[in-house]
Amino acid sequence: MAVGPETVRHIAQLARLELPEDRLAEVAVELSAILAHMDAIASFQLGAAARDDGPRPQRRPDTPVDFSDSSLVQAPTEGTEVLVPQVKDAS
Amino acid sequence: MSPVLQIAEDVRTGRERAVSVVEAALQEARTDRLGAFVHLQTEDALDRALAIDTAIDRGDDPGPLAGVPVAIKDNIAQAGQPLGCASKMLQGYTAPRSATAVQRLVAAGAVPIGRTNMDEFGMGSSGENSSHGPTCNPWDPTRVPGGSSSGSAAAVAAGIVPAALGSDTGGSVRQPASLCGVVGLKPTYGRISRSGLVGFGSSVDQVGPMAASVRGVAALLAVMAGPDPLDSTSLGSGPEDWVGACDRDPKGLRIGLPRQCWTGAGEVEDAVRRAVLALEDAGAELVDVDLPSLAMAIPTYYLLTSAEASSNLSRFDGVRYGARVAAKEIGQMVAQTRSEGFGPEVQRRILLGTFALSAGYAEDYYERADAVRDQMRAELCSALQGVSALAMPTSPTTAFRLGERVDDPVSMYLSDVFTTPPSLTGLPAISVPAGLLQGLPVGLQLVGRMEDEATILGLAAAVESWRGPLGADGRLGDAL
Repeated sequence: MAVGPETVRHIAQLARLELPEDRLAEVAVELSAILAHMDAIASFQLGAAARDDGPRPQRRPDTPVDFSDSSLVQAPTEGTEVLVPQVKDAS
Repeated sequence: MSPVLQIAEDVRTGRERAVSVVEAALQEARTDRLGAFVHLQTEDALDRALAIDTAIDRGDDPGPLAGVPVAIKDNIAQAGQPLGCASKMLQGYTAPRSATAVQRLVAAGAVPIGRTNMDEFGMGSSGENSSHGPTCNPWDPTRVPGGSSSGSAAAVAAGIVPAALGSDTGGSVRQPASLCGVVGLKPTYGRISRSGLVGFGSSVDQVGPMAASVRGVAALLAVMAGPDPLDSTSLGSGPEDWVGACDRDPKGLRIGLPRQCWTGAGEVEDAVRRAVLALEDAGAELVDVDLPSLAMAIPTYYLLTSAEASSNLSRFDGVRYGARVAAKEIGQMVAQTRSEGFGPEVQRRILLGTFALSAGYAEDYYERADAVRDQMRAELCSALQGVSALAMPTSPTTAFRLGERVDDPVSMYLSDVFTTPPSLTGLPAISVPAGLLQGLPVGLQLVGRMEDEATILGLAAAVESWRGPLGADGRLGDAL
């Protein structure tokens, strides 16, 4: 499996990592080499012991976290700081 | 007698003072040139040692490991001490509480003297992926000690401490133990609580003891094992007499040799085979076994654990723990903190894991790997119904040179080819030094049935007796 810079950009967004544009191609080559080794499992003959039935796992959509829509934005702020309630009995 | 048990006996009987033993270990650690330690906790250690001496003077029982200095890997929490995982991400972070394993060690009288270097967050097989710089192998400082528990293995091999704690996700206790000529045990999954161990691949992570001898490892296991309400995956069964199990006779035991691990080529295999033949001479029966799924161990392990790591490490976002890069918006802050805080290998695994879980690929990668793991577990457990243990080299090579594999991740990953199957299947496995090859240690790995550490400890102790001292004059680390 070969991945390209576009896939790497999308994966990095999902992983909340900031990859510079000029590194995307390099990382794509690196990940492709690793995935080429991982691809061996596709052709491995699975026997009856391998769990291949039962309910499929449910996953949330692949959407990068949108911080502008996060609950933090609703919190009161002072300058650039988010205000939180005082811890009980803290000085 | 094992150094661990000897020190404990000397301290308990008053032949040695715990303060003297701990001060001597601290002195050795202060002059460590291997990069094994990232922090020494001098005051804390000496306070604990003094408390042990005071307890003995009062006639109180100071515990079975009284005064034994131990080193703790930097991803296992001890209250009030730094917890850095050898990562810039956790620079300056102090653990608010102790891991259950550390609590139990301390309650048994052991004295932690410092935090050991490691591959960042446990990701690496050479000890080179550390924000503190690499650890060197005591047998040849131009070579790697293995990883990820690099500092713990080097500290024991160099004789700084008689025992240390590591963590093992895919071989991180056993592979450095093999490369440094010490004993390392990955217990059955759940045998030692994971509470307080920083998560990497939670379905496989285990705390594991490392020591200069098999009995030392058994003594540490005996005080750390047992159920823990703080870890729902901990086993319900309590500790056993694992030190006593080291005296078991291998006579009559059947040992399986997986064809996939014994290819008939290579000097490491030849050196390890001599140790296996010694078990046969002692009365064990050797039988060939076929385990086809072992060929899939590396892709299965790296897909599953990278996926788990991508989830586990999402908690490091600049808000709750450690480092933070200032930015105008929270999204920028999170992404920049993670990009600057995590090293290259950790970022590589997060990207691989996120990819393996992403839409369109999860079925072919993550779910497929999960199914292969099921098959591997069934194969190994079935084979272990006919034999008492499996035997194979711990690592396909001796310690390689520093820098030799850092630019080739796949080559580095292949170092774990023999250690990942027991990890994926939860089975206990131990690495015991089998001898030297061109002046470098090689390890024999013994894999046991679920919850049967006793058998592999007995077999490993038999290998130890056959082998005799590993160093030139019988002391590990004298090759320095």
